[in-house]
Amino acid sequence: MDSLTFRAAEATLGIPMDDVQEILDSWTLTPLPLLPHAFRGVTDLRGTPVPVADVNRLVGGTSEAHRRTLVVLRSSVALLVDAIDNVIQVDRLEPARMSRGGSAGPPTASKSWREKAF
Amino acid sequence: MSSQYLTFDVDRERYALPILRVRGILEYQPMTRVPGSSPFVAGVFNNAGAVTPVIDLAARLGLGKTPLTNRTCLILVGLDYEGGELPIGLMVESVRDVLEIHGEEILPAPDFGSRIRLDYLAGLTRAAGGFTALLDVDRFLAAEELLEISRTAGQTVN
Repeated sequence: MDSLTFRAAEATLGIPMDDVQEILDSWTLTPLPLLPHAFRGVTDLRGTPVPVADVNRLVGGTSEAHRRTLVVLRSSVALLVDAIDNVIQVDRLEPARMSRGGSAGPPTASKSWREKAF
Repeated sequence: MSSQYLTFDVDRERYALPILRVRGILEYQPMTRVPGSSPFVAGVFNNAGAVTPVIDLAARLGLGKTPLTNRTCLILVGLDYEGGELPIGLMVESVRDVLEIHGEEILPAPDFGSRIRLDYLAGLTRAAGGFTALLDVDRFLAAEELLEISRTAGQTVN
């Protein structure tokens, strides 16, 4: 399985390449009020408004500084990331280890992304 | 078929509402604050003898308070309420212009997930370049908020 890795929230994260529709370096943002904190508004994808979710905010990161690249997913949501990293071959996923009672840290499986986003 | 929309700014972003709902546009004027009212109720003012509640649109949309400048305006609209019309003023940063929008230029707001309802949003349009949010004047206030505002006005709605 190919996986697209990117930088966000001071970490390197990945999503299955099959979920990715396109990557945009140049894009516009229309903010919409009363959205959950993780959403920043909508971007104009060839005339269609697509929700923009900020991965930094999604995983509880604080960095708002260097902006950045949009990863548009096939599920009609765009992820705002710091930068694209690489495409890697993933053969086997290790279960995420969480410290007992501690904070979980960024989710590591792609499923968690969507659960967090919606 | 096309309709005309009044465009205005809230927190430096452009919004629009159907001009058929607009009863008038006034310069900002000093108003009487109402103790105990919601933070988004800026107060009431005397509009040609009628006590008219004013909603700070920025505050209602969670964008802080509308700053008072010489461009601050009150858009007078009539809200559907219990079979009548509840006149209110919407306090906005500034009023821009009137936009002609064709029906096919109105895009439904995208799906942000089932738990997120954007009741204030009737749709989006690209008619003015970039997206402009169309305000749904009859749904952006919840029923209990309308009740509170009608009480604020201290008048019965016929």
